[in-house]
Amino acid sequence: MHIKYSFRRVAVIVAAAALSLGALSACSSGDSGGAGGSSDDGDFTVGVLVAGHDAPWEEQQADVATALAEKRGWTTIVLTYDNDPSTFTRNVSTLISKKVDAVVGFMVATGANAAAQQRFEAAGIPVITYDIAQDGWYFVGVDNAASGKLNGEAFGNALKEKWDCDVDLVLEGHQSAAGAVDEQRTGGEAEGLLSVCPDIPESAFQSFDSDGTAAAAQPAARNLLTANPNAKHIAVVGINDINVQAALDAQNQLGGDAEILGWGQDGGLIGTDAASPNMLGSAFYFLEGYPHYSFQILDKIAAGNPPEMADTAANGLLIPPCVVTAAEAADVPSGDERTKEIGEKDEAGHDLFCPTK
Amino acid sequence: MPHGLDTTSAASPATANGYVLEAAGIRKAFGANVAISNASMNLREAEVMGLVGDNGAGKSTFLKILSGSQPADEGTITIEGKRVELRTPADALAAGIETVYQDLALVDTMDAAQNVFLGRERSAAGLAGLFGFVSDRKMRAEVGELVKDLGVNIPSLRATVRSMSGGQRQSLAIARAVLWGRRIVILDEPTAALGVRETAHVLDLIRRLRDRGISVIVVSHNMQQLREVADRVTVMRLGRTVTTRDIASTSVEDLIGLITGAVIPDETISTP
Amino acid sequence: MTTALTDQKTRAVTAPRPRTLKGDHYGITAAALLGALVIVIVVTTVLHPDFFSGRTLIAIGFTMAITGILSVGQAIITISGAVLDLSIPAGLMLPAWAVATMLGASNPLPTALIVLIGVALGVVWGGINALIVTTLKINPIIVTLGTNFIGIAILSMQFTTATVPGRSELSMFGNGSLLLPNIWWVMLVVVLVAAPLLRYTRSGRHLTATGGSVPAARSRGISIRGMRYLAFCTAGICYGIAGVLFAGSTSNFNPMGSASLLLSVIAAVILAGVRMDGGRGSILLLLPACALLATVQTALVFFGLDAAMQSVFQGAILIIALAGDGYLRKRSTR
Repeated sequence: MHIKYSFRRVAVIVAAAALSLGALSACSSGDSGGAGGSSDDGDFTVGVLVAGHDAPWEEQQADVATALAEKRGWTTIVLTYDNDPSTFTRNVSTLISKKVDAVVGFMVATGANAAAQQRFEAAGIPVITYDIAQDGWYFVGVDNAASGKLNGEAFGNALKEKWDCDVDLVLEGHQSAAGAVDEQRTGGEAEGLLSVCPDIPESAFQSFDSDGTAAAAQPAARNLLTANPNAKHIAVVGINDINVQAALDAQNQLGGDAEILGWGQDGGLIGTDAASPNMLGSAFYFLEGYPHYSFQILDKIAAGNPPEMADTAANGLLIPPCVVTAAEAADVPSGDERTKEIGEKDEAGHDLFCPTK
Repeated sequence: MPHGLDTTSAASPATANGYVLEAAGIRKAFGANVAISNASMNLREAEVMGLVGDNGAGKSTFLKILSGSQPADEGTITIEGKRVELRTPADALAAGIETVYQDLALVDTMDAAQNVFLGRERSAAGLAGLFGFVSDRKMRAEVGELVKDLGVNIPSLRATVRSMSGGQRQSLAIARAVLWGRRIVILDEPTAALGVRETAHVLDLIRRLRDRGISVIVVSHNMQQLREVADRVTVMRLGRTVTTRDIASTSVEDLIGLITGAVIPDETISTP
Repeated sequence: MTTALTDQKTRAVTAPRPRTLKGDHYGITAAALLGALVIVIVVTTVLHPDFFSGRTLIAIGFTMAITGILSVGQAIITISGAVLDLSIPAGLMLPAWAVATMLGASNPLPTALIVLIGVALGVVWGGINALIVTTLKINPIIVTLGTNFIGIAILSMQFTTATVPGRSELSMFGNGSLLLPNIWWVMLVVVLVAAPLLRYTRSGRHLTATGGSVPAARSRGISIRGMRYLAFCTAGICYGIAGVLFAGSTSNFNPMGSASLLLSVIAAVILAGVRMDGGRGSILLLLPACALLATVQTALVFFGLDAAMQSVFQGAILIIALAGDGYLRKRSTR
């Protein structure tokens, strides 16, 4: 370096940044915690933890929870922790100090979950976790194994009809960082496909991995497609719509006369302009509607009759996936509309909106 | 003379009193620390002026003010009778003052020609020149003639400065000052890091500058060298210019006495 | 004394030297990169003949296009002495998001105007970085680390997933090819324009000099502040172009979507032999550097290696490149 940067200046900037971030997070928790206040007043108060703003359903979950609580005359305290473990831990302290009666939320700061569990347990506060299991917390989540299997079977049936199961390459779009969820969904979809089309050779199944962004998935899929230049019928399965769409985009870029069809999961893109016509279907989980399920548990807790602990993805409350074709997906209302309706009716998203239920 | 060198015009008419540069009442403080309380200098046309003083006497601050590196707090600077404000190095360069810094101010990663023309690149011909393109061919040719003319020995015009010796770098920096110094060239300890042979060469270069009508200010600790090359010498002590003497009539012992304060000057500034 | 001087005069070197790139290693670096590229291609082709195909060329072209454009911006920053711009993910994502949003509007503006706005946003991003670097006089690495953090955070509040209409002109262009991907040709143009501008224009010279030595540049009347703005804003043009092409070739993306590109970009700049201290570097060499990185990535898939192993190889290439660079530099400075 040729310029001498004063350390004092750097220290000032770092301090200012830290302060402003602190102020920001204080503001945001202050805003969303507006319904809070001391809750030790006989009321039933629910703490709602929002992971961040990575997807619209994260805040929609909180909106539905707030609506359902209002219906019951309960209070909610909504806190966001921006996927940050230390903010998460502060939120836990806030909820304990406000003496909430129960906590629900999407707990992605997995490293901090065990400690949070001990503190909530010590404070006598029951917790319901969405999709990410933690010993001692009620589990509510989508049935990933069913999602993988059902989507795979639906895709298999479609391929049987279109190509008579003549598939020479199956791309599996993994997100291995998701661990068991990836295995159940991506691996499950491939198995479901194989159960309908059992003659696809094992060597036809090839995997690429991504961090869940198209920017990483697209080149990975592109290289894998390039390495298989002789495939004429290509099928794409994946943990989510983004991974599948990335492979469809990659094939479009490479050109050539191979045909490619995909079937996603999680409903992230299906039915929208961003999904390729070659994405035949996917599955909706209606994530915004999770509070409908968690509030069934809360009702029992509020009645002084808590259900037995079911804290794994095997014995917890499992939400059925809604497997749809692209055409069916187009008729499903938008996330905002669903959020409103579930909040009003307190019914499962699957029952209200799934065209194939 | 290599073509394109505009050094002959240096011998232009100065002001009525014959001074190329007049600095008067210069003051500079850094917070509570007063580096220069009162410095003045009158520089004649085509003379070599030594600037001497103990460490901390204010020489380098005075030099920085004259070269535009630091603006003065108070005082006036006049070039050929015209008041100038030297707030940036660009101001000083525009006023015709070239400075060869102790750290040489060469860009290590660039070659000799690029360094000599840095900030004043020759434009390429035609449309390319209008778009800001430069002509390395022109510049290399000019620098080639310049170094030949000055007898500067550098390994290659294309070699980066990083690969040159201290003497080669010093010579190159002075050559640059020769090329661009229209009126005044300031040299800060030009021989400090050099061997005997290279020192002799640099002193010779200084005389050549004077012979071209350029006024030279040399900051040096080496009194013997100054006696060899300078016409007059200005002494600084404790942030002031205490006297200016003709070198011929001043002994080395006197100079050292003036620097250390053992000899008290009988006037503040000589005005012959 | 006079004899010594005349002696020196006759020895003064003005005789024509062989027209080699003396004092830098551009020639050696180019040869090493191209040699490595040829080895990778030959070895992979021998073992997997399918590798040698137009399809592979297209795949590699797509992979290196956006990295290539971004690395031009990064190289300019590095050569100007600002070391590294860690805000590239945000600098790319801001225009990409804006372009996707404008394309998806019910009544979209003309594509050319959308592209221009996208590029302009890249320049604005660079200008913000330069403003902070010059006014607060903080190390650019720290500034850009901070602005990237803030930029991505703000973008995260604006959108979760941006989708680009597949039938938009920009997507048609961004996913299309003419022997090589259209976006690759854009990258080539960016490199071929940026290289002579940096090497042979007055501004490029001054920028390089600032990277070589701030005091030296300042003493020649060059405005250091101006050069910082020039470096960051020129890099911003690159980020803007890259952002537009990213939106044109990626049907959906989220604010974190460009984070993985930063390491490839830095790798390319290091591999191209750009001096990390500033003052020296060849934009042209970014071409073989990016080509090598992209080719290795694709070749490894032919060998059936997974993503983790690909990272291992990329890391190994970088270490070898740095070791080679260090060896050459040590030798040249004696």
